Amino acid sequence: MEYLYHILILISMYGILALAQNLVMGTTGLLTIAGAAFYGIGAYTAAILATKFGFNIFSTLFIAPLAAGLIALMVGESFARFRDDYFMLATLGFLMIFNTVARNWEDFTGGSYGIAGIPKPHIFGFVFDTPLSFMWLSLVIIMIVTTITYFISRSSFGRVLNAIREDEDALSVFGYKTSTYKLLVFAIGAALSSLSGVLFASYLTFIDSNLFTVNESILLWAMVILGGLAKNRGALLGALLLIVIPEGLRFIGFPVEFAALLRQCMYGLLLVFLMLYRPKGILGTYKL
Amino acid sequence: MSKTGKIVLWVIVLILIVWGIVVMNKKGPAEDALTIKIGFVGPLTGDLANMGENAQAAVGIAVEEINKAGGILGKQIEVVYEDDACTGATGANAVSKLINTDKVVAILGSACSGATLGEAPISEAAKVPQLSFCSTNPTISQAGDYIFRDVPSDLFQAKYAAEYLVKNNKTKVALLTTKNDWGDGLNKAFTEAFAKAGGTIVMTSSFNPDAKDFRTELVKIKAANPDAVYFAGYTDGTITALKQSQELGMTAQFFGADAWDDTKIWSELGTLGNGAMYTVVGTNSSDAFKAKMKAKLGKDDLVYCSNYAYDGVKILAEAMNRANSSNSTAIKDALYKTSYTGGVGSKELSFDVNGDPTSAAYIIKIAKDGKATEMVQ
Amino acid sequence: MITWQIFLYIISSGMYFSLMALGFGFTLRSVKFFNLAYGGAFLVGGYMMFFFYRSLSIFFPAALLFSIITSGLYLFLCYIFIFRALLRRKAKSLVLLIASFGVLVATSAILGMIFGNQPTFVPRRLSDVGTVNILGATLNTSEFFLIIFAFIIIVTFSYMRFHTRFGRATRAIEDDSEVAELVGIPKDKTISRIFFISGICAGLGGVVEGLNSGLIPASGLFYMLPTIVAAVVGGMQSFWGGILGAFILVIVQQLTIFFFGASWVQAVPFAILIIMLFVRPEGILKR
Repeated sequence: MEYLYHILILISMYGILALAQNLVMGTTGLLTIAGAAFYGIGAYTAAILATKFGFNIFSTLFIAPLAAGLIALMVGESFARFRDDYFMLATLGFLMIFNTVARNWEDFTGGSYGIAGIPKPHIFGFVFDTPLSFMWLSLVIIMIVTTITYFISRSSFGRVLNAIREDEDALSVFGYKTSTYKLLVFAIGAALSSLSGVLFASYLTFIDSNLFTVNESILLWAMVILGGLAKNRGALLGALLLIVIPEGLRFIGFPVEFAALLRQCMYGLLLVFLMLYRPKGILGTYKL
Repeated sequence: MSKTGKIVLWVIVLILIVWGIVVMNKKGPAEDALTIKIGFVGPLTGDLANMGENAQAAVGIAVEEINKAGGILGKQIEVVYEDDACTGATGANAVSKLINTDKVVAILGSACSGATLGEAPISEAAKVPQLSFCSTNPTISQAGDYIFRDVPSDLFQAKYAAEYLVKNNKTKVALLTTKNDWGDGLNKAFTEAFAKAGGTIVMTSSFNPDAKDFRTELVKIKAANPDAVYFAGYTDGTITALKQSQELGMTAQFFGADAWDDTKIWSELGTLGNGAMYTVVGTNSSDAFKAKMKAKLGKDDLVYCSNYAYDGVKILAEAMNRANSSNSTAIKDALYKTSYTGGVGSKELSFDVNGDPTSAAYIIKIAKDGKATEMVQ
Repeated sequence: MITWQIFLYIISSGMYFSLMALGFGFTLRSVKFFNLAYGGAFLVGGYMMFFFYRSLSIFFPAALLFSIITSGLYLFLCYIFIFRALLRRKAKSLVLLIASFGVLVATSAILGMIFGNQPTFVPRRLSDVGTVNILGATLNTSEFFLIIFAFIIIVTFSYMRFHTRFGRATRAIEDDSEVAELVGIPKDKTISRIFFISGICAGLGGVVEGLNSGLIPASGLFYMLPTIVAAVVGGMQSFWGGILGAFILVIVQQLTIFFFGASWVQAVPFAILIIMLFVRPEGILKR
């Protein structure tokens, strides 16, 4: 049973990340590789506040999005005039620099040691230290995030985002300040991603800079693309599949070294097949 | 939703349901009455995979011996092997699985200090004793009541190296250490010990674990003209750096630490490694054990950690017998009373209040023509 | 003394990344996407060299030839079976990017399964790789020969580009592939050749790396990142841009290591990249 809770927690965490990535990349069309960076910012914020300053993880759930959102605003502001490929390269640069800073700034981020012993959240005396309780917490958070993204997609704000993806130039001709919208959604995406980071830090009790790399970001891309861009359901489905299937592989009993590589191989081939035969993803209507 | 989309979705849901049922049934009752489960976590992939696989073989041998002699408390031991890729994050995940899913009563692991430090809080919180067979970072001593190791902390290793170097008139040393728990721990410990022994550190440099090019740093070090270079690196980095140092014609004595006991380093370097020295905890390895390892691996390869991994299994077994129980907390209490003798790792072992071994005996190995052998001092 | 040695390192690393960026630039300019499978060709070249030279004990030059032909074929086949279909469909560059990333990941994994995750060194004995003394500083023989070979390759390619029909065809396709086709340039054949040549460059890079530092499956992606930066910074549209970008990258990297220590070096390519994106996104050289 506890293994099931573990899977559901993982699905929740990655589901949040996928929803955020979908909001920025799928709905709005901003090709960001920085997803893992904001995930990392959330995790480090929680870890540092909790271990060094004794904050309750629960409160960090509110602080981390602020931190991530703020950084996203600054980064986004600088990158706002880049389009498509250039934007992607810029976000890649940001991620790599974040990674290097996290790895080197020992006093703050624990550097190569990472930060260990991150506590579980507690509220009114109840500590979420069993897999079951943590799972409920994660599910609640992902439901909140789903609701938020759902409302954004359905709102007029969301319609503008979709329009930006389709034809940004046309939109600006109509008088919309597209850069403001893009900046805003980038920050929202960052804030949501950071929530997952907080959960992750608390669940794993240990984080270090190796967790937030290009590979993580590409995994998020794969989830969003597999599930289908611009559809929240798609993001969730993508997260579900890309967590469950590799875990399922574990049980087929390959030798450990092989299992990891086999997973990687399948994942790579999956991307190729998706691009060749179904760029819409499973539930998507928008073709990449 | 398109038709194809719907079909795919239903197929997926179906698969998930079936899978879920299978998983549920697999888990069943928590205690399998017939075996005692021990978890093993180590670097089965990644830079130290050679060491990890070697240790895995040693553990296998120990378990076979115990089971053949009747097992513990009348039951056979079963080991569940998990990989931590020498990282804390993977390790934490692996240990979570071992504790929550496999319900192991004790954990043997890990090799890499970073991995152990990531795993320890989880074992500690779950009150499952964890015994590391190779992690030497000093902070592990404070990792928790349930955390033990049968190899000594780097404070001793660095001190031994520092004193040896000073004794042999190598008083100017440059530090080159890898940026992770193990390397940083050694860097700090060595710096303190060396200063105390009266030496001077002419420069210190640290590098990313995945660095491939040491040339510029080596040039800097060569220019600083040290008598020796204290180099804390893992397999990959060591091979590259020593090769590049030879290309540069560096004559300083290269001195390393326990991770250099990976046979792969010296077999790859061949003559390029000649003269390099390193400290490693002495072992009490027997020819019989070496022969068993050779039979199991198909090659003549015994990494020193594996001796300690083998001992680790025996120590855990002994503790369970002493406690007359496979309850994790009882095992932990019994471990503190360990008085183990005749192992292939240490001649005798007992744990201090921190779960560290009470004594440490180091040796120095020197490399020549593809092999590292113990140096007679 | 140190400066001269570091200067030599800059030359050898610079030529190495120039080679990598050059090959990468071919596909970037002609089919206009970031072909991450280039990293796969890199790995294939290096691992095949290990296989031919060490496992099969084939004579070095022959093994080298076989390896780079294999890596060239690898990219060629990727084009035929994957990228061509996508290009025909006029897929967005992002789709091609993702597909190429998938190829890289799958290739790394497969090579990892065959050769293992621990570093694979090409030389039969590391002491085989001798050193060359140049006015007091040393380079190892593979670095030394790389400088010479890379130089020859650059000269050959530039000749090819500006003085052969194939070169003209590539320039036409880079300019406007549809018009090029209309004018009668065999687009498919030319692009196939471009991929093959690109693969050769990557494979050669992989061999060099295998000789120097050993290969691990993750090396593919690892070396793609500075290659991309070198190509972008130097000027995506320019033939010489990759070379310029490579040297800028290497110089800044070496200076960083020298003054700040090695642990910050990973961020360097990306800091340069971001600065370039602000100042001059097309890169330094226009054409």
